[in-house]
Amino acid sequence: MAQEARCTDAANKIIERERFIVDSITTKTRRSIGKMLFQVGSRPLFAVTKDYYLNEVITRVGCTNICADVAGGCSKEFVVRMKPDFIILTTMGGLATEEEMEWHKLIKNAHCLIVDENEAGCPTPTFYRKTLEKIANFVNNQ
Amino acid sequence: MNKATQYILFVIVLVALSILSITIGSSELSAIDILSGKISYESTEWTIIRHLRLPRTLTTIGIGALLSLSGCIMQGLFRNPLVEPYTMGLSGGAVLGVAVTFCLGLQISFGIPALIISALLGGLLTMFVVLTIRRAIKCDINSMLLIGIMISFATSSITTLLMSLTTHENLSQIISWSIGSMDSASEEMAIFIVASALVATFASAFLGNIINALSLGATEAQHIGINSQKMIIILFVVATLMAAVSVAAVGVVAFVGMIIPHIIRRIAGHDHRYILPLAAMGGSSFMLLCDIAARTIIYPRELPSGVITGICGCIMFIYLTSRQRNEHN
Amino acid sequence: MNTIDIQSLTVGYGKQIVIRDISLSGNIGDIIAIIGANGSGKSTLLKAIIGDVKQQNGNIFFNGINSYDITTRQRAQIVACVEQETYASQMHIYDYVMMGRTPFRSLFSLTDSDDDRRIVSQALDTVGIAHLANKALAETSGGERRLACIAKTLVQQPQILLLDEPTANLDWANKVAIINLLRTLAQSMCLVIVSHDVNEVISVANKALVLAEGHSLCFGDAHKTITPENLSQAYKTDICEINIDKESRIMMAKGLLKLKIEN
Repeated sequence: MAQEARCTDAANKIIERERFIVDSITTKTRRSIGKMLFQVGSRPLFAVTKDYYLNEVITRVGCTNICADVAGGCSKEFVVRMKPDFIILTTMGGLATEEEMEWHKLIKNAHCLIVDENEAGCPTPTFYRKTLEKIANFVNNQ
Repeated sequence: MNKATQYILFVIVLVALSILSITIGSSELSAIDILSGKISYESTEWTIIRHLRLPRTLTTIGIGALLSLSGCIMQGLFRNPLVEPYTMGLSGGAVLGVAVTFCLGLQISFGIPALIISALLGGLLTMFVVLTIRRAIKCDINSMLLIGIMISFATSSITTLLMSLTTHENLSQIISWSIGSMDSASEEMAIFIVASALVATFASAFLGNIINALSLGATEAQHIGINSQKMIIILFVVATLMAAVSVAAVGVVAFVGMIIPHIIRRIAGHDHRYILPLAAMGGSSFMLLCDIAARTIIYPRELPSGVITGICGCIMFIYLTSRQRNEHN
Repeated sequence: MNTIDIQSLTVGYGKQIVIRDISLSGNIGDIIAIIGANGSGKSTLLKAIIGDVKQQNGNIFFNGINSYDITTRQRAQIVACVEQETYASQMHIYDYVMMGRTPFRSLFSLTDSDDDRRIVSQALDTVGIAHLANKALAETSGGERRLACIAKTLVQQPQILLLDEPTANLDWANKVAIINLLRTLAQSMCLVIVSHDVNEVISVANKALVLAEGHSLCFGDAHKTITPENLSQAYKTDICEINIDKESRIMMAKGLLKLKIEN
C-alpha cells in the first residue's frame, strides 16, 4: 500500500515502531499463563481458531487457544468443559455485554475482556499492536 | 390403542427424551447420578446441567409444543395441510424486524432484548396487516391465506433489500439469527417459554370443539352455532402469538408446525380436543430429538436445530405423503 | 304464533337486492317448498333464514321471537340447514354427526355426554347409516354424505329444517330414500325445501312459495300454488300438468314433451 502511495519511508517507520512494541510484549510475556477463548461471534458461538491471524495474539500473550482446532463454531458446553482462564470478546455488534454476563455465570473463575471488533478485526500494524497491548495488559494484571 | 394409552405413551416418550437431552452431550451423565445428587454443585457437570442443558431442554420442549399447536390450529382453521405457522408471513415479519434492528444498530444500545422484541413486533405486525386487509376487503378464509402468503413474500423481499444494503457484519448476524437454534437458551427464556407452552397446551384443548366446527368450513360452523368470523380471528391471533413467541426466542425453526400435526392426525384421528395436547407433546419430542442430534452429531461444533428439523421434516413429509397415496390407491 | 314467520323480507348483497317483500309462515308438520327459476332468490331466502346474509328490510320470527334478538347459538338451536355440499374431510361420520350437538353443549367441553352419544346413535339409525359411523367423510359417496348431513341436523333437534336442493346429484334410489326420510322428519319439524325439481316437492309439500325475479308470485297451499299458470310465469316457459291419478300429478315443460298435447 505504501509503495503504491509512494510513502514507503513513513510506512517503514510505522511498521518498525509497531513491530518493536509487539516484539517487546512477546519477549516480556510469561509462557503458559493459561487457556484462552477469543470469541468473535455469538448465535452461533464463533471463536478464533488456529487459522485466524488473531491466534497469534493469543500465543504472543502466552496463552493456549482452546478452540484452535474447532473450525466453524463450537458449543458453549465445549467451552465450559475446557475451562478457559481468559475470555476475550469482540463487541459483536453490541451483544458482548450479555455474552460476558453469561460467561461469568458459566465459568466463575474466568476473566473477561471486551475489545472493539473494528480494531481487533482490522489487521493493520497499529490496530494489531493496540489489540495485543490491551490483551497483554489484561492477562498480565490478573 | 385407546386414547388414554396414547396419552400415556406420549408422556413416557417425552419424559424419556427430556432425560436423554439432559444427560447426553460433551460427556454422558448418568440420570441416576443426577437425580440422587451425586454430582457436586461446584462441579463443571453441574454447571453444564443447570445453566446449559436444562434451560436448553426446557426451551426445546416449549418451542416444539408452541409450534406444533400453532400449526395444528392453523391447519384446522384453513383446512389446508400445507399451512404452518410461518405460511402467513410471521417468520418473514420477525426476520424483517431483526434486520431493521441490526441496520439501525439498536442492539448496540439495548442488547439481545432489542432483537427479541423486534422479532415479536415484526411477526405481530404481519398478523395485524393480514387481519386489516381481510377486514377491508371482506374476504373468505382462503383469500386470507393468500394474503398471508403475499405478505410473506413482501417481507422477504424487504429483508433481502436491507441485507443487500447493510454491512457484512450485520448481514451475517441477520442470517445467523434467522436460522433457528436453541444454543441461546437462557434460564429466564426457558421459564417463559415453558410457561407459555403449558398455558397454550391447556387452553388449546378447550378450543378443540371450535376448531372441529371450523374445520367443516366457516359457513357450516356458523350453522351449528359458532360465531365463525369472531372465532377465526381469535384462533388466528392465538396461533400467531404462539409462533411469534417461538420465533422471537430462537429464530425460525421450520417444518415442525407442518409435519407434527400430520403425524398426530394419522395416529390419533381428527378430533382437535384430543389431538391438540398430543400435538404439543409430539412437537416437543420431535424438537428434542432434533436438538440432541444438532448438538452431538459434529461435537464440539453444533448444527442449528432449524436445519435438522427442516431436513427430517422434509423426509418425513414425503414418506407420509407417498404412504397416504399408496393407501388411497 | 307460528314456528317460522317471515314478514316483508328484503335481502340483497350490497346495493343489489335479490329478494323483495317476501312473506311466508309455517308450523311444525308443514313442508314448505320454495320454487322458482335460476336466480329468483330461492337460496338467498334460505341464507337469510339461517343467518348467512343480513336482511335489509322486514323481519323473520322464530316462535314469535325476532331473529335480530337471538344469538348465533340460539338460532342454531331452532334452525338447522342441510348443506348442499359437505366438505369431504377426514372426520369420521360419527364425529361429524356429533358436531350437530354443538349448540347444546359448552363450547369448551372436552368430552361427549352419554345423552349426546345416544342422540347421535339414534340419528344414525333413523337415517340408515349406522354402519358407516367409523368411515371418514372423504371415503363416502355424495349420497352418503348428504345422509350424514341430515343426521347432523337431526341431532341438532331443530324446529325448522332448511334443505337446499336435498336430492341434487343423487341417483333415483337415494332420491327416494331422502324424500321418504323428509316425510318422517316433517312430523316433528317445519321443513323448508328449495328445489328445482318441482315434481319432487309436489309429492311432499303442503305449502309452497313461488318466486319470480326476487318477488313472491304466491304463497299458500301447495295444490293451489303449484299450478301450470304460476309455474309458467315463474319459469317463463309453458308448463303443463299431467295427472297420473287422483293423488299424483307431474308438471312438465311443454318444450320437453315429444308428443303434441291437445289443450
